[in-house]
Amino acid sequence: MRVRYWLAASSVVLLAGSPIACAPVLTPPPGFVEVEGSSYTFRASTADGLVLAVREIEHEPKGDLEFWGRAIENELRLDRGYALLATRDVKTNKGIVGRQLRFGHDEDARPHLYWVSVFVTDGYLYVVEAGGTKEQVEANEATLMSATAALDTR
Amino acid sequence: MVEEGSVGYEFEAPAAPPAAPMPGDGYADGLFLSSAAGPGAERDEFLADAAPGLEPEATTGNAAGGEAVSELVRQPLLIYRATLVLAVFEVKKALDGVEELARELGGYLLRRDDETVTIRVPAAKFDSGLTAAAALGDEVSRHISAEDVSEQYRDLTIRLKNAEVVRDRLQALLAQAKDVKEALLVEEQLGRITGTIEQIKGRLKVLDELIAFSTITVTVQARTTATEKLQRRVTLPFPWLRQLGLSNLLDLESE
Repeated sequence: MRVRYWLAASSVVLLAGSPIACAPVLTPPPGFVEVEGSSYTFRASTADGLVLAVREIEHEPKGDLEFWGRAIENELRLDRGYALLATRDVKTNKGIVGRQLRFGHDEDARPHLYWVSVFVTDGYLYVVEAGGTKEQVEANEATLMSATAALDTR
Repeated sequence: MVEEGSVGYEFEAPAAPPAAPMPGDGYADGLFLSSAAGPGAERDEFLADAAPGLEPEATTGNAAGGEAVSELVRQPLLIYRATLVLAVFEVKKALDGVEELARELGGYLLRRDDETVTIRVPAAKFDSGLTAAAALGDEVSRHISAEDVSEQYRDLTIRLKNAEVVRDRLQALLAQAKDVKEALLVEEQLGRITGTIEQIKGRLKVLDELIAFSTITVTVQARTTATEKLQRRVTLPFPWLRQLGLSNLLDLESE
């Protein structure tokens, strides 16, 4: 009995403050296969390496969409040298409004695109990441936008 | 007759303003940045018009002379430099764009490596060049400086004029030399002053170039240390922010 209680308590401690892997937040779009075993709540890839992922993060402390969008922008643009190519408002099929930041970055001297969308609910932050070579992302824009809109928030 | 030591190096004294008013109006009004003929032509014109009576002895400074020379340079002679840091995408394309920009503006490429390109553009096109260069990427920071070299330029110009006057005198003395010893003595002095003249001309040429062409350095770094150093801010206490990025996302073998 005491052992079972200890295990349950440990699980709660381990999960706190980190991306939470439980209910599915996204289903792999056509052409994608889910890749498990990472720190992401969800991650899927095409055979060619175009990747879509979601982080579900406990929303604590609370911040608004402006705050989290800015925090992501500063982290990637100012600290990592990502070029901010565009910012746009996005919305899930459930009506949750989010902010999408579209970055460009060279990886191994090849131009890549990296889209980060953030959605804010009372309980969680959802960060949807999509990235691949410039050609891959541009060719699959509709699929990636559709998948982002399909995000199932709690 | 030339006596040892009589051919002085007054021109070597700290460049003090001449006592006589300088013909500075044309020089100042047609200053380099607005001159179609270029700064070198302006300087030559100035030197040609310079007071013919200027003597090396006149290089002893006085207050009146200082005022006269202060009239000489009414507009500052400025060397413009700018450094841009761009968060980048398609590094090679961005660097090529900067290089192409230099050519379009009538400038030239000074140097280029994997992450940085430095161009020189005509000073009159400095602003437009900077704007166009910034548009080639996502501008993270910019630094612009304007170095005023008016004083330095004025001093060099006066030293050059004085040295040329001394050279002319030496040449006249050489023609009048009565024996070989005198001639050798004058020639030695002549050689020194000719060297000094060339040195000053060289420095003026460099200044002319730096004034006429502004320098724009664009640093584009994909995985940067420079932008980190330049832009280091407060680090927010949310570890997941540090986990963002393509390298994590695309590493499908990571646990």
